[in-house]
Parts: sequence; C-alpha cells; structure tokens
Amino acid sequence: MERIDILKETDLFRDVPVSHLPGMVRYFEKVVFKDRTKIFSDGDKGDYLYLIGAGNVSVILNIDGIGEEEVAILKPFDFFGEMALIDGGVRSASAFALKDTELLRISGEDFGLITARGADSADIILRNIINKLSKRIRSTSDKLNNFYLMDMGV
Amino acid sequence: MIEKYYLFSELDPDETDAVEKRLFLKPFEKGTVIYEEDDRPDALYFIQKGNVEIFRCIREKPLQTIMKLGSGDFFGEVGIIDGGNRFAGAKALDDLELLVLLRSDFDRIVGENTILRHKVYTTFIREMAGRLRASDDAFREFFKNALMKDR
Repeated sequence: MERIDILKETDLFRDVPVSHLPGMVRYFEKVVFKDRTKIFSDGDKGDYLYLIGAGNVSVILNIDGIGEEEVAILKPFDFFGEMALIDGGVRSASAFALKDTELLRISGEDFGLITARGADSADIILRNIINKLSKRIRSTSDKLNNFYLMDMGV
Repeated sequence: MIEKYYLFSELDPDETDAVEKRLFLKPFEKGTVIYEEDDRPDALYFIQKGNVEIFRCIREKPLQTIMKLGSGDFFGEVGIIDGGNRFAGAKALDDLELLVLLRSDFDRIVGENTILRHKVYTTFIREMAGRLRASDDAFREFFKNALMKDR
C-alpha cells in the first residue's frame, strides 16, 4: 500500500482534506515488523508515532513482578504511540507486531511541525488525537469496571 | 480569573476575555451529584473552590473512584469533545463553586478563533494524556492487588 493511501484511511487524518495529504506524506517513513517482533517497550523514550498500514499490533501493559496484560489489539489504520510524543514521557506500554505488520512512523519533531499553529489541518489532527484520548479514557475505565465486577465475584 | 486553569494558561488577555464572558459561577452543596454516568454532556466545569470526585457505579453502587480534583482543575471534557454520553459521574466532596462553560459556548469559542482553538486543543491534549497515564497506573495497581490476593 502506498504511504498516501494509508494516510487517507487513518483515524489520525480523518476529516483532513485530501489535498493536504501530499504535503504530509514525506514526514512518514515505512517500517516493517515481522510477526511477534517488538516495536517498542514500556519505559523506552517515545520517538515516533505510528500508523498501521497492514497487520495488527498488540499493546501490552507490564505489571511489576506479576506479568503482562494485553490491553488492546490494534488494526489497520489505527494509530498509536502518541502519548509519549505529547508529554515527552516514556512509553507507558509495550507494542508487538502480530502477523507481519507494515507501519508508517513520524518522528516527534515532524509531528510537532504538522500540528504547529497555522499548519494545514493542524487543528483537525489535534481534534482527532483528542478523540482518541477520550476513547481511551473511556475504555480504560470500562476495563477497570469489569475487573472490579470480577473481583467482587458477581 | 481563569489564568490559573491549565487549559487557559496560554491565552492572551483578549482571548481570556472572550472565554470569561461565557463562563458563569454556580455553587453546589456538598454531596450533590453534578452529573451522572450516561447523562448527555452539556457543559465543561472549572473548580474555583472545593473538591470533586469523578466516580463510576458498579451495580448501582458508587465504587470506582476515578479521580479526585480540586481548585484549578477542570472536568467534564470527555463527552464535550467526543460527543458521547458521560462515562462517569461527578460529585461535590465539599461545598463547591464551579465555573460552568456550556458545550454550545465551548463549540462557539473554539469555532470562531483559530489561534485560541489551537492553544486550547494543545493544552487539552496534554492534560488528557496526563490523566490517561494516571488511569493506566490505576489499572496496573488494581491488577497487582487483585492478583496478589489470589496467591
């Protein structure tokens, strides 16, 4: 799949006019991960945001001294890795390729450029990220609620 | 008056005025539920005085405290932005004074001024990322405790 076709489909660029995409494509580099290989680890410095072109990505929370909990399986055109780019913190979870997976990645610096004030569609991209974060706030809370229910034995 | 709120910390005086014009102060007595889970979101709230608990009910019992917020914090943003219903309730832990920004006014403010919109979106994202990290930590903590108990 061409890079621009992935940009057209991804949630990160939902509502962005197609005419703005050719100017953005150069910031995105294609990277391929084989089945079961690691994309990044919990605690790593967050250098890139990723878009999925093909394949699946498993997001895993490491729980100190206990083990691992898979918190999400991402599918084509989802994006991930935005948190560490936003706040400059480290990766809060690990990501692995499930199947052979094709990703586009953009560096934190370039991401700053496409979301800078006055940049084409910057506000639309920011809005898409806000939507993603609010979905994640909802789903993390739902998940926790389910565990509370299980813990209560009901 | 609103400079102390992180969401508005980057606004210049004219932008601050534009936002302040739309805010109104509303008191809530201790124990009052400001909104409940699944309500239609109609406003964003800024805490002037007092403390607020964001909670979820499990089998009609308010059991999961998502977070506690105090003066200078805001809440109610999730539904305002994504258009979904309230994912959690909000309750007054003390006598409260809240500044209320109606959803229609929020949309108007970010709709008509592109510079202000960019500033508000940027700070919104940082604040939400911070909350997500906190909720991921809560999730880890819960898991750890639950699994330890089983051992």
